[in-house]
Amino acid sequence: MMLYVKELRRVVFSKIFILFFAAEVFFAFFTQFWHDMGLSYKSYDPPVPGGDYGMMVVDDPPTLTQEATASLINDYINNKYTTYPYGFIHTVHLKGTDKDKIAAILNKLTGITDLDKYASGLKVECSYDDYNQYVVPELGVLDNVSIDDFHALMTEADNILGGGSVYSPDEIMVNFSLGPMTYEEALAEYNGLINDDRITNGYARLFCDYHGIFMVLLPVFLITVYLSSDRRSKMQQLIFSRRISSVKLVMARFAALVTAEMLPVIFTAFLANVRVAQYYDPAMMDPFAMFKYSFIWILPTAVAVTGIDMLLTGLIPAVAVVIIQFGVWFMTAVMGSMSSDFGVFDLVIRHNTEMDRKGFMDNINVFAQNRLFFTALGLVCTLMYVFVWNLRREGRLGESKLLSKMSLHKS
Amino acid sequence: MKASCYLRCLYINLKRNSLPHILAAAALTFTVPLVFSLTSLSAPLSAQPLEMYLPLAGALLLTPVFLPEQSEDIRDVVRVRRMSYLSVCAMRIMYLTVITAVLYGIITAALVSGESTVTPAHFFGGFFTALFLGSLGVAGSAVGGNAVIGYMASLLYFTANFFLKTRLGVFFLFGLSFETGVSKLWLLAGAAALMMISFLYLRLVKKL
Repeated sequence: MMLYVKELRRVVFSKIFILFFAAEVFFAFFTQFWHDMGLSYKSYDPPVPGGDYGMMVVDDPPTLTQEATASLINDYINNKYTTYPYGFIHTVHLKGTDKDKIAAILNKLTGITDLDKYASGLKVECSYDDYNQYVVPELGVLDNVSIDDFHALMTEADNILGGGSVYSPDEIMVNFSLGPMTYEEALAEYNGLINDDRITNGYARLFCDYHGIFMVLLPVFLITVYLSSDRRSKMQQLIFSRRISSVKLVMARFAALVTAEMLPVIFTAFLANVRVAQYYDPAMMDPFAMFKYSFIWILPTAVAVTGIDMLLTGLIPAVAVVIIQFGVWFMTAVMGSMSSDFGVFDLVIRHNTEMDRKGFMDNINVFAQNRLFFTALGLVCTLMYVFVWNLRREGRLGESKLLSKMSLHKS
Repeated sequence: MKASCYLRCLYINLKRNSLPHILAAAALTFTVPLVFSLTSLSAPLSAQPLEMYLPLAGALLLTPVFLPEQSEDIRDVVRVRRMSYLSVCAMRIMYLTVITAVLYGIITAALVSGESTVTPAHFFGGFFTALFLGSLGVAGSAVGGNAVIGYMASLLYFTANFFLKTRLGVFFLFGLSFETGVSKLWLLAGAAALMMISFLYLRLVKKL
């Protein structure tokens, strides 16, 4: 315990921790949660009859199949498909067998055998960037295929396009099956936030959504600088020669780092409560919701990232760890999907709204499995780091000859 | 000092110090066609790979410019040499800037051959963006005394652009993609100022 307190003091009084703390508070809280709450279009009052409640995904197979198939026909005729496989635009022009495969999919959906002949009879509605938007009449897709077959064929089309298209399972509903939210639905969502979520439980999910993104990236700077400080201050050999067990020292450092990483989250949880209380009656709020969600949502991320980064820092130079971590984070958080769907193996869990309690609760088992998996992964990586650190201590694992030759200096 | 000394120093630095970073930046450049479409793009879309992805090559190349001497032992050895340490760092920055320009040239050429709308402003705008991001890394490394802090400065500023967008004013990196109309010369001036401040800090405060 004394060692843990000592290590924690070393972490929180370091310059890099101040930078980490400021970055986490600024990026994950002030530019996101605090800023979102102040947006002019947000309404905190109960919905009134006759208002505009926004759009939502609706279960309307005839509309979905018609709109999505008409869009695929337009893309096929123009031979120009816009996809976002890595979050950025990708224009696909198909040729050869891939083009024939899309024609075959459209044939199954619509029964049309000669699409070029069919296109010649269509009227152009508008044109932009060399793309002609045709008016496609009623196709009666569900007369030809079942809704399950429709989804399977659209997924096949998405695979042919290389993924990330509007026909992918993640995107098809939000692109082609949207309808206006009714007053009753809007009121039910609002009541869910006020009564079931006691306001702050809903906002805590939004709060953790933002912290989850940055908790994957920012700790790497703290961890790499902190762990390399022994070498920089020329204390490494001295520590190696002490009697303390490797497990005890590494676990104290791991616990100190995780605690330090949670400090900006706890600090902003207080501020988030204050911010929410500006818009709602504090007596109706759950005062512990922000802290509760922080521990079940963000703590496992901190544990996983700390364990993985400690292990990597034990094996490769610090700058390489930073570059790898940023690359992985950029791929998953910036270039990846921002949708609320998440699986057991998604380190970043997204739920970018204070509403949709039902959507989150429907996925609560996956959420629990996910958090347990990443907690376990973080602990396993930390134990592996103990092993690596012990090898270095015993002099059985030195600097890599290859890295040394390439002057990838330890920092 | 003889020119041959500088040439030898350049060769050794390229081989022993910068090679892994150059390889990493080249690998990043060659992933551009995988992440982005480079054909038939309008002017704002052509700017996306040059502003939203390739500037990371600038950060990768320039940030570790002081990395070899981060170790006190190596710094002590460098201090006693006749060749000024900061002139060696300036030489590193110069050749890494040229390499950054070459990488930008490759992607700009690919955009041109893909019949995308590309103007000289795309090349220079993207290149200045990379230099600014790299110079943030240089400044972070110089002041923080650690390349990791340099990466923190450059990578977090890059990330901030996705969230803060035009709120960053004249130093917003994605001006061509968002068609803000703000001159990229601000970024070039910012890069020059950051480099100068870094060198002055090392010279006057750190006495290097």
